[in-house]
Amino acid sequence: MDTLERENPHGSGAAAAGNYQALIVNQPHQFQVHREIYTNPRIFEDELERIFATTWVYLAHDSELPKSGDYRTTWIGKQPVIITRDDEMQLHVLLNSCRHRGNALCRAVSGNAAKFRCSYHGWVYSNRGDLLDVSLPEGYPADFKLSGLIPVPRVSVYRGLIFGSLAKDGEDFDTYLGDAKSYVDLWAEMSPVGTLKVKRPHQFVLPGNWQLQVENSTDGYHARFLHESAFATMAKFGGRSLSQTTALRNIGAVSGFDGGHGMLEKPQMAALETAIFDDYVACLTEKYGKERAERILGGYNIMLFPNVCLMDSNIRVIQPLAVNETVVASYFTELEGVPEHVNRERLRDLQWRLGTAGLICTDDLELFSGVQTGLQARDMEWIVLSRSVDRETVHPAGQRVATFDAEAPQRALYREWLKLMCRA
Amino acid sequence: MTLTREEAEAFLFEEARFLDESLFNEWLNLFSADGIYWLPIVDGSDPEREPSIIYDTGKAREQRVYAIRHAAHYAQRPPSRTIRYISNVEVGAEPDANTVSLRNNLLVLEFRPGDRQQIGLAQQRLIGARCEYRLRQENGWKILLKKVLLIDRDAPMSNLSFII
Repeated sequence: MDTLERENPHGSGAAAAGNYQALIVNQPHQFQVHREIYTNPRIFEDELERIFATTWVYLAHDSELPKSGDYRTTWIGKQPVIITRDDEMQLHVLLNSCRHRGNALCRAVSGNAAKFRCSYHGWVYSNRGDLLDVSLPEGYPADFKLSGLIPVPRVSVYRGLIFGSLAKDGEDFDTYLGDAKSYVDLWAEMSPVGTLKVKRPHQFVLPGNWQLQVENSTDGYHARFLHESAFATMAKFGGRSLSQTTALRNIGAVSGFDGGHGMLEKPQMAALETAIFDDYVACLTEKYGKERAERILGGYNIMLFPNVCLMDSNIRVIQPLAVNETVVASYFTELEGVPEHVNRERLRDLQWRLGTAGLICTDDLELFSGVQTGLQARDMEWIVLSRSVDRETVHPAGQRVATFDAEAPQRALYREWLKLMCRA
Repeated sequence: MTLTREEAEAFLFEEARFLDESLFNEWLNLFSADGIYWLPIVDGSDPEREPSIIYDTGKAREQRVYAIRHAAHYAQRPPSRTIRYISNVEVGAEPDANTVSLRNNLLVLEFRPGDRQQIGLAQQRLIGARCEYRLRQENGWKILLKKVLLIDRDAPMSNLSFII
């Protein structure tokens, strides 16, 4: 008998009945999530519908479309979209699907075009999505109604981050971002003029469930264990010693937010050469003053549910492909208003740590393979996310703060997950 | 001073053997002190401003080798086995009489041993690339630049924790 058909009020079987409440244990002293969340293709299909097709999803950074006519294609869950910038510099987010027979209008990742012509029957659309030309139009009845590309109903841009939502109605963007907003501000102020440019991404295939990357991006507990070799390498070549690294890791904090967002604060997460780091600190201090500059340098990984992490010097975009396959793209952020050698050093550091062949990234990927393998053990039903569950400081607006090694961000993720999955 | 194609092939075959046999110190010694090991994402981009898959100076190469040998670098536990095939070798002239350029095609067959049911293990992977080298005469030919243009350099790729 299929495990999903078994009668079991909790855990296995619950998914088949659409009983998502039963997949999360949220009690005062324990917080657990069921393994099927990472392994069951039916749950994954529901996630695409109930999470990715309803909430706000990160699409791109506006520096990827600097000129009129620029476009890039991306995805909301598994639905293809084109983001365009028209002659008046307005952004449009359109479904990448011809109104005639559904062909993907654009197969390129990015480019510049005033019009899109469907390769199948030659229908032409403007980069605002208006249908400009239908080939051999006499083939349609005189009163036949032809329409332009379907726009994504809601688009919001904050600090250069472009988000879209496929739901016509729903939480507005400010409500969605909630308390995480002030930290997004701090992150964006990494640039003394508040402006950054993203570069071509490091991209990798993660042979596991998308939520493994979401959880990991704000996990302060694992670094000294999983990334021992990277820290040892740093120490061996004149960088921080292992004990210095551990001490730094111990002074951070984590937060979980309403809306499923999570944050890891790790002071001096990046390991820039001291002299260059000092130049950068001076640059921020001059602009913002000492106190604000210190906060900006807090080293933030801000995971905005469900698919983007503002992860110190990169924007990490999480693209689910299947229940056990995910693509991650990490966009280096070049800061405006800092000396050139600061960006050069930030790039070197990011690439060395978190690039496709970075020492930390490669060990994370190996780990995800291991977790996805281990979760095939059917009787290992519950993933334990209880660290410091009873030691969170809850702020009035809902931000839950705990020590760097707590699982508060992961718990926030699954609270929101449950809320959306249960909202039929 | 230049290289015959046969001498160029001997140089490239030796490097391939060092990597296939995990003779990493020997591989490091093939480079000039200011040599670069570079895997661009976009060919022709400025590696100090645009991201690369790898852009390693001498220190970074030594770090990479140190990490690969580290017992806790899980992405290389077990380590990759590789076999390299080199073809289409061409030798070009450089303005400086002490330097020479080479280019070749490269096919790397990679295999990490282990249990096929463990995700990522016991699978063969084929990596294709065009390589460009600049070598300088320094009591023997040393690598000033090794540029590897992976065929899938701008696409998402599986774990890349070994030297190409």
